[in-house]
Amino acid sequence: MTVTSPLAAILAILVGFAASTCAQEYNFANSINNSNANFESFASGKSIVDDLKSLKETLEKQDETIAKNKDAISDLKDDVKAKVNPGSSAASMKIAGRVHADYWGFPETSPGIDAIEGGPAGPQDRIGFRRMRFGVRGDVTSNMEYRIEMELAGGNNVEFRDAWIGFKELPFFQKILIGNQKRPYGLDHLNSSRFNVFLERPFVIESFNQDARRLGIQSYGVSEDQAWNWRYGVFNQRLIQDEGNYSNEHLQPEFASRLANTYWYDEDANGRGYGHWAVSGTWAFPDGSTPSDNGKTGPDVNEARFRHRPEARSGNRWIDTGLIDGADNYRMIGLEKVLNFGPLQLVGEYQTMLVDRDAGADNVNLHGGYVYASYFLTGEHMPWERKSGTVSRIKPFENFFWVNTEDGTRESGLGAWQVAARYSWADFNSVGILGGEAESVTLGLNWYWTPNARMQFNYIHGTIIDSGAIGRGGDYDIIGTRFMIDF
Amino acid sequence: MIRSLLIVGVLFVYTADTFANDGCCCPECGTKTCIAKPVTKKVKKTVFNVETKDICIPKFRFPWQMKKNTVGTAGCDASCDSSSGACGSSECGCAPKCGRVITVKVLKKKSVECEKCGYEWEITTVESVPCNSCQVGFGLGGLGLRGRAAANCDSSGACDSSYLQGSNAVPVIPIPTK
Repeated sequence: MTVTSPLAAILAILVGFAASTCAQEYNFANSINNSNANFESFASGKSIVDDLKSLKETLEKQDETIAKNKDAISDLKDDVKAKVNPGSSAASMKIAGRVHADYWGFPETSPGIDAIEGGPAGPQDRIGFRRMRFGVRGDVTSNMEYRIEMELAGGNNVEFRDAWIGFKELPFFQKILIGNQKRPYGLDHLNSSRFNVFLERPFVIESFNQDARRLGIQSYGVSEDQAWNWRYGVFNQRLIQDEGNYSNEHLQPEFASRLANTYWYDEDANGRGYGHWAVSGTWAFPDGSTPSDNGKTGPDVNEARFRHRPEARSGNRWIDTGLIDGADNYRMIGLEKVLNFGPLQLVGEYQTMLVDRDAGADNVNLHGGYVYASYFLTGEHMPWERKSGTVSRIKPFENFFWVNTEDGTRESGLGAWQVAARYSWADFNSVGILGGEAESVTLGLNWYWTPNARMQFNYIHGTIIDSGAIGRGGDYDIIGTRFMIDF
Repeated sequence: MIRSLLIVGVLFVYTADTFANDGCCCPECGTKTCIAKPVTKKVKKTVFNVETKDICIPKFRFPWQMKKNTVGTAGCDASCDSSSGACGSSECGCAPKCGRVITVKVLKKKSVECEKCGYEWEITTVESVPCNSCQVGFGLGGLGLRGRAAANCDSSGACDSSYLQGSNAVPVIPIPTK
């Protein structure tokens, strides 16, 4: 053995000792801790066995917790399975619906109104569902969307409302929808019935755009700063939501568009101040050119007919032009104006229509409009959707509630209260067409319980003149109440 | 008539009592029974609380107050100062005026767990001695004149708990063994 051998051995021992020291440092520290713990246990009269028992109990409790969590996860998986999912992984789906329950009363009507309504008994009070809709909408892949909405308020006569497929994020067109959708004129029609200030739409708005939706193809656009928005498209005038399909000789096309400008919108004030104007119009070609087309049945029934109830739910239409014989085409132009100053909103619309008739018949001019003011007594405002140029969902500062609280007291919330007044008129009497002249004042009281539920009350006083015949008409008073919820 | 009604009533009470007690009040030795153990259960309950919060109702600006670079123009008040950044060189137009603060109530819903006393059923086997079989007989159990009481019943008609393994419960329902 050389001299180097002992040195090497010493070095090896030192290295080994160092490594061993490092490796055992943690264990050493732990053993000190354990020793301390054992000492504490000993000092407190506990033994290691007690500690082990305690540890065992802890582990058993943890086992129980894990088992419970497993059950919870299993339940959650079942819940997820039970949820409604779209049929394709590439699609999203949202369910939406609304329920509108109405009461309508006719405390005072003159005999002429009773005659229009169809008998000496006059219009009858009614209670029922105005709307009961349920539908889905969503995206398919990254740039397509869809919507289907059913109307169930008709009992056995189920209809659909929005039913379309669409492309979005398109160059130039931005968005195109194909299917049953609203025609682009009349602000009060473009506003959802969930947000409208009054129970029923004004004479001229509903008459010129009865039931609003038609089968068509429409482009929707908005400028980058959202100051401008527009929509234009081509539609078939024949209603499809009640029949489901068209048969032969059905085509009565119309071209329609709307250009809207939100020229003032105070975004910093949460949109409590804004101004809007819009112009809209349609050029339609009804099938009224030959007498045979004016039969009241069949797929080619003349669509040049404009009518409406008394801005309430009556049995008959109280203004009605009937089928305008010889209607070759009609052109309508509408103007809209909205000003919103915090809780106060002022709205007005005017629409005028010229119906061109075949040779030998005078052209017909129909027109009407409305103005209304609404005011939130509780300070809220009517929100504005700049992308579409329509009103949006109203959010009460304080929801309505009435509950017993945990500490036994009884508490309540006010909701949002809004009053409104509307003046509406329409003149559908023109060169032998006796559709009637109508004028009405509506007073409204809206009580918004939550953003999704409210109660509305309307009192209407109106006059109808020369509807269907010279001298046929009269005065009326109507009250209406609606309870509504949407989700 | 009254007598008939009385007879029907007595029969009804007897029948109901017989079904309720399922014959013998105490189980035989070696059979399984389930006993009710008093426990404190936790039930979930929804409660409401109402909190208050302050919200701001901002003042809106008119279109001419929102124009860019409006220092010194009509409609902009003294708060519109380029040095403050509220207006002038900024892109924001006149600074909005102070808003109004209102206090509103907010309804809060929460779930709490409440304690409620009840019973949990526990299956056990009768093992203690002496175990006597039930006596077969008839009687007016509903009137407290039970004639079928086994030896291991206490004076109240309930089972003597000493005959049940580890039992401290009162009601007993025998489960027939297969």
